[in-house]
Amino acid sequence: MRAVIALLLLTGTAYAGNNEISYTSTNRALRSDSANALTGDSLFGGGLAYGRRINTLAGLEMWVNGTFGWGTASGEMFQTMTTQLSTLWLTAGAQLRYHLTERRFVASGRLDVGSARASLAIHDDMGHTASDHGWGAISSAALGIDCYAFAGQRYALSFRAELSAVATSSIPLTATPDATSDDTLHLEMTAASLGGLNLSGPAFSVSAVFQF
Amino acid sequence: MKIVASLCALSAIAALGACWEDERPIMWDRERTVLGPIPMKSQIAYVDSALDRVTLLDLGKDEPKITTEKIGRRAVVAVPSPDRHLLFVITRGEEAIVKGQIDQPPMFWVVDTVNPEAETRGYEIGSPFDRIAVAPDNSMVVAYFSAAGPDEAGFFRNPNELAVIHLNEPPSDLNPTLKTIRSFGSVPQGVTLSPPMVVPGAEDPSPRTFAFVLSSNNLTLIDANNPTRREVSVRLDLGGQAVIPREVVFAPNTSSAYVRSDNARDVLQVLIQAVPPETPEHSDFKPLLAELGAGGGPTDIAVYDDPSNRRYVLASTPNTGEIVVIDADTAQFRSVPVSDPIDRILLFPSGGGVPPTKALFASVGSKVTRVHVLDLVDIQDPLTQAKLHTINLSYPVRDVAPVPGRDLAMLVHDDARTVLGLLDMDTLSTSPLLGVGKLDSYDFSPSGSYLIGATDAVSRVGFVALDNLHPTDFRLDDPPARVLSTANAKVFVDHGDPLGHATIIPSPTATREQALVLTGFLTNDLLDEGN
Repeated sequence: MRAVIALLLLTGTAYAGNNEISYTSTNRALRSDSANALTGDSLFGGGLAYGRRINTLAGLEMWVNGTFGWGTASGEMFQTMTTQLSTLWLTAGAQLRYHLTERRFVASGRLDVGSARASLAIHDDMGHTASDHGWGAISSAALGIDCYAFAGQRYALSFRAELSAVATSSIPLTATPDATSDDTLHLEMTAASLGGLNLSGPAFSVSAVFQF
Repeated sequence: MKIVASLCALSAIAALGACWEDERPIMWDRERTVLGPIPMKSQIAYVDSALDRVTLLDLGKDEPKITTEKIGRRAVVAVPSPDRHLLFVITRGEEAIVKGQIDQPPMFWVVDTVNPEAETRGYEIGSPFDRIAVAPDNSMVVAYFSAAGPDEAGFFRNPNELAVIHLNEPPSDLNPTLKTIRSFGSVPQGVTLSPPMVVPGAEDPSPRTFAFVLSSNNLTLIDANNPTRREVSVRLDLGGQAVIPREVVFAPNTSSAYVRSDNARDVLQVLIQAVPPETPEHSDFKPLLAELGAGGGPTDIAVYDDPSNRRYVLASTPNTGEIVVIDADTAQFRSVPVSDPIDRILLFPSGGGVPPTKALFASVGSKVTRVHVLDLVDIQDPLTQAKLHTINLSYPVRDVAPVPGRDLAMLVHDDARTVLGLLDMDTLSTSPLLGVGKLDSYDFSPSGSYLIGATDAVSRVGFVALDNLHPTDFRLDDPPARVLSTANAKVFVDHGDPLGHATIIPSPTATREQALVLTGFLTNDLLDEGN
C-alpha cells in the first residue's frame, strides 16, 4: 500500500501526449419509473473511449471524445417474472481538463451526446419469454478527477473517477415472444406496447486511462 | 493544499458511488394473480391483482382494442353480470405496514365494459368478502364470505356478515349495507338473489329482490331492497342428518322459490306473502312453506311453465327410483319410475324463451350408460301415459350440456379423452364424436351453430358444425389453455401466458390468414404504470 502511495506521489507530470484511450467500469442508478418496473438493481457495465486533445488555453485542456459503452441489469417482477435489461451506447463529446497539481491530479468536466440501444427480455416461471429492443437518444454530463499513476514524456497512465448525470429519451418497447427458428408458418401477430423505457440516472464510473 | 482538496474530492466521489442503490417502489414486488379470461359481451376481461387494473380486450372490430381500468389493491374475485355488460370485482385492499404500501379498505368495483365513458365505481364494503351474488336484473349484489371464511388478516372475523350493495345508487353511508345474518351455528354456503318479485298484499307494491342465504340446516331470506330490516330464518333440519340447501329456482310471477336440499325429503316451496310489520325494523313479509311431494331426497330440480303459464317442478328422487312432476300451485304430483340415480335435469328447448317440451335426465355421478327423455307435453294429465324414452349409449355419461338455441344436448362420455355424443332431442338419435385428447375447455358459438373445443396438450382448436356434425380444426401456434366464444361470434383462445397471449379467430369458418395472435396485453403499458 505504501509503495502504491509512494508511486502516486513521486510520478511525473501529465503531459504525455494528445491521444488517450480508456476502459471504464460504470454503475448507473436507474431511477426512472419505467426502469424501476423492471429491476431494483443499478445498470452495471463498461465502456471503451478514445479522446484527443485539440487545444490548451489558459491552463484548460480541451479534449474531444468518442465512447462505446454497455450495461446490464437483471431483476424480478411480481415474484414470478425475471427481467434482463441490457444497453449499448455510442456517444461523442467534449471535455475540459484543469491540472489541480502539477504532477498528479486533474479535474475534468465532460458533455456527451449520442444514441443508446436498450434491449429487454422478460421470462416467466412457466418458460415463456418475450423480448424487444429499441433505440433512443442519450446525453450525459460528468465531473471527474484523474489521478496519475505514471506520467512520462510519451506515455501516461491514470485512473479517473467520474460522477455523471445520464439522461436518455424514452425508448418504446413492445415485447414479443421469441420466434422459433424452424420453417413453421405462424399466424399474424400483434403485440401490445410495454411502454417507454427510460434509463436515465446518476452514474459513477472509474476508468483506466492510457495517454500517448 | 491542492493535494488535500483533490483527495477530499476523490473521497467524496467514491462515497457517492458507494451509496448508489435506488429505492424501488414496492408495487413491483407484490404477488400477482391474474383472474380471467372472463367473457363479457364482445370483450374479454382480465383482472390483475398486482397492477390493480382490469384489462379489457374489445373484439368488436377487426383489430382488438386494449383498455385498462384502475381498481383497488389485491383483487380476489371477479364476476360478470348476467347480461355480461358489467364486471364486478372485490379487492382485498391493503394495510400500510412497510414504506410504499397504502391503507386501503376492501372495495367492491363495478366496471362498465360496454360504455367506456362510464366511470369505474368503487364501494367500500368493510370486510374482505370473497364471493359475489348478482341479481338477475343487475340492480344489486350481495358480497359474502365463502364457506372457508375470511382470510387470516384481521383480529376478529365474522363469517355470517354480508354486504348488500344497490348498484343503481352511489356509494354512501347506507350503501352498501353491512348485515350479519342470524346464525344457528352454521355459515353461509351460498347466496342466490331472486329476480324482482312483488309481495302479494304488501303496502309496498314495487317488485323487490330477495336474497336467499343457504347454510347448513338454515335458509335465510333477506329483503335486499330493504336490507336494514330483519331477515327471516327458516330451519330446515328435522333432527337427523344436516339438511344442506343446494339449489334455488324462482317463480317470480307467483313470488315463490323452490329449494332443493341434500338430505331433505322433499322440494321446499317458499311462497312469499305480506304480513304487517311489528315495527319498521321488522320485515313486511313471511315465507309460507310447503313441501312438494318429491318424497325421496331430490338430487336435481328444474322449474318450467307450460303454455298455459302453469308452473311445474321436475325433481329426480333416486331414493324412490322416480322422476316427479309437481304442480307448483296445487302440489299434486305425478311419478314416473326410473331406476337410474338421476342427478342432472335439462329442459328443451333450453333458454327459457318458450315452454319446454322435453326433459333430459342423466346420471352423471354414477356414470350410467343411458339417459332418459321425458315428453312434457300433457304430462300433467293423469289420463295420458308418461312418455319416457330410454336411450342406451356405448359409453358412460360424465357430463351433459345443452347446446344454446338448439334442441341438441352434448354428452361428454370420457373425461380422459374427447368422446362426445350429440343427442338430437327431436329424433332422440345420438351421434358420437371422437377427439384427440381430454376436452379441457369448450364453448358454443352464440347461435349454437358450432361446438368449439380445445385440449391443452394439442395446439389446435376443434370445431363441430352442429348442423351436419362436420368436424374441422384450426392449427394454433401455441397450446391453448382456454377457449371462449364472444357474443359477436369471435373465438378467443387464451394460451395461459402471464404476459398475455391469445389467438383471435374471427369465426369458426375463418382461415389462418384471417386469424390474429395478440401478445403482451396483460403487460400493456407496464413501463408507464408507475408514472
